[in-house]
Amino acid sequence: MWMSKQHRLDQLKAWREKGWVTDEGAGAIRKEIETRRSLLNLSNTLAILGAVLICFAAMSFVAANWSAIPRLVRVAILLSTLWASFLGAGVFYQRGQQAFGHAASLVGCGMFGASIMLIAQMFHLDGNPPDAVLVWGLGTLLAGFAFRSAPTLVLALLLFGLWSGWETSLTDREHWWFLPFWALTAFGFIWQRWNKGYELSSYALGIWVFVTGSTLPGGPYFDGIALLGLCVLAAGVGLHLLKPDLPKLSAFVAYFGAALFFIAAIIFQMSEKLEFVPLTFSAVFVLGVMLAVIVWANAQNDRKLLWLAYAAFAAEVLFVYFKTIGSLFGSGVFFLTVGLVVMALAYVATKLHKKQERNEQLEGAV
Amino acid sequence: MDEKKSASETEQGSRDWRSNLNDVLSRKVGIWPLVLVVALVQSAVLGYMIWDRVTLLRTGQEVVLDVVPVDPRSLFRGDYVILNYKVSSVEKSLASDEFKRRDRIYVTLKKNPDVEVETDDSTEANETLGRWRPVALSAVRPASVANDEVVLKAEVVRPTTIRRQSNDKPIPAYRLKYGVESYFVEEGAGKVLEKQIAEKKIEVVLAVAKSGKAAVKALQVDGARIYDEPLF
Repeated sequence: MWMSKQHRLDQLKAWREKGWVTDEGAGAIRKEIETRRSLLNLSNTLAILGAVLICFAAMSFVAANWSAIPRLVRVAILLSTLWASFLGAGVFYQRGQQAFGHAASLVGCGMFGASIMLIAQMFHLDGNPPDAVLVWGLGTLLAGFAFRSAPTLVLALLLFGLWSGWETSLTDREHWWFLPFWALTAFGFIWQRWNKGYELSSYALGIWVFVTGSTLPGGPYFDGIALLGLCVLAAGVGLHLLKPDLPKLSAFVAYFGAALFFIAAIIFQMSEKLEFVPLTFSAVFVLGVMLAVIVWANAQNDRKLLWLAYAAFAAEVLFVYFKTIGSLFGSGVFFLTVGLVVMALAYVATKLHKKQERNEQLEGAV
Repeated sequence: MDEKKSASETEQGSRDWRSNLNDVLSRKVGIWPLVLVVALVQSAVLGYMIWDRVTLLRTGQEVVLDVVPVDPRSLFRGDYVILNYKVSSVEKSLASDEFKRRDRIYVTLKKNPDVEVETDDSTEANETLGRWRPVALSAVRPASVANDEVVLKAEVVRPTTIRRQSNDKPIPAYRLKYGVESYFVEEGAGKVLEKQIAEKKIEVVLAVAKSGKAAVKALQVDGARIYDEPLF
């Protein structure tokens, strides 16, 4: 039920193509969507902030222990608040007031979590606390799917992240069970075509990859994560070449892979305390990949990937500079070499560009 | 042109499954059955938690354990005391196997006839209670349990050492957690309880199910119950 502006415009386009909406009507609807956006965003934000505050209020009540209220009454209060929230969500969704529907759904899920904590408190439950977070996350995921509510799915993803992090910290072991729950929430975001949800899912997965790489027996494996990132980057590029009709997906995969590679490669170089020669080789390799990504991103006009590669290039150069600052000669030789290679690449790129322009002119003349 | 067509077809295809799912939920199911399912499932989970605990408290075998509590404060869970039992550390020699951190195991406790049982005439249930000591640690629940024994589920926290007497050599042991280490009390009452514990000897009455699951049923000082858990 959460529909982004782009989603609405896409639907409008499809309806116009099918002839369900006249050009004039489509223009009016488009204008309406454009002008209502800021107001809707404000009401969305305020409603969701209100929901978060109500959830915190519920948590404080739990903390106060409600000693004066009999147990059954406490449970009845929590359950009736939970039911009231979901019934309220139903009313809002039925009226088309999506933002308030999502906020009510969030309050309901917050009450579910608060109820789990209160019941644990009432009966002195002291088992495995992350299990309670998992149950909370599953209940929230169900609400997210049932109401098609992206904000509720975000809460579910956060709870699964908390659950996985908690389990990892308790066991000092990798936690593979995060993946199926992550995949379920990611599916929810794909279903709702929510771009921010894709980003959030990729951040969550990226953090999990780093945590897992650090906690695997014999780890940390930042070199392994860098290699994985490189493979994902290559998969993104490959997907673009094989399936050019999925440009958004291939760009997304390439960006995710590049980010994994750059971050892991820099952490690996920092943590391994490499000597001058291996450091030079690794730095040349990392900078080479970054340059290749800059060239690719430029060719695809992918600004997001381009800026990531620029930032990573700058970070790597700074890292090498600080690492070799003790040996000015060493750093001087390194930067001179890299500088010459980059300039040579720029020269080759210019030549290729000119050649391409010439070919296009010839084709035009023919 | 073809590329554009195929892109549009793919987009159309991907739109279809989403639209189909949305149609099923919006038109065929509607919002109210979904609201009902979410609220019922979440309520059922909470109801199960309560039913499980109430059944355990009502039907579980009573066991009295000695404790040494402390009083921290949890931001989200009000005031509570940490219950540190004498059987929280158990000799490794009683184990059938080598256990590692986070292993789920079973601890067999035996009623100790040598220990003098403190009773309180005002508490009828106490007359049947005695002290319990660990006699075995196993990875699976023992097939047969004697009448004077009870089996508790536990989790290995870490390997440790214990001394029988303060001058004895340390013996390898396991630090265990039974899931009954927190006891929530009214706000501010934690300190009062701590003072009582410092002055007197405190014991915890546990209710233990056949599966080995345990719940705190009451706290008692010198045999007199100071906190008794109501079922509701």
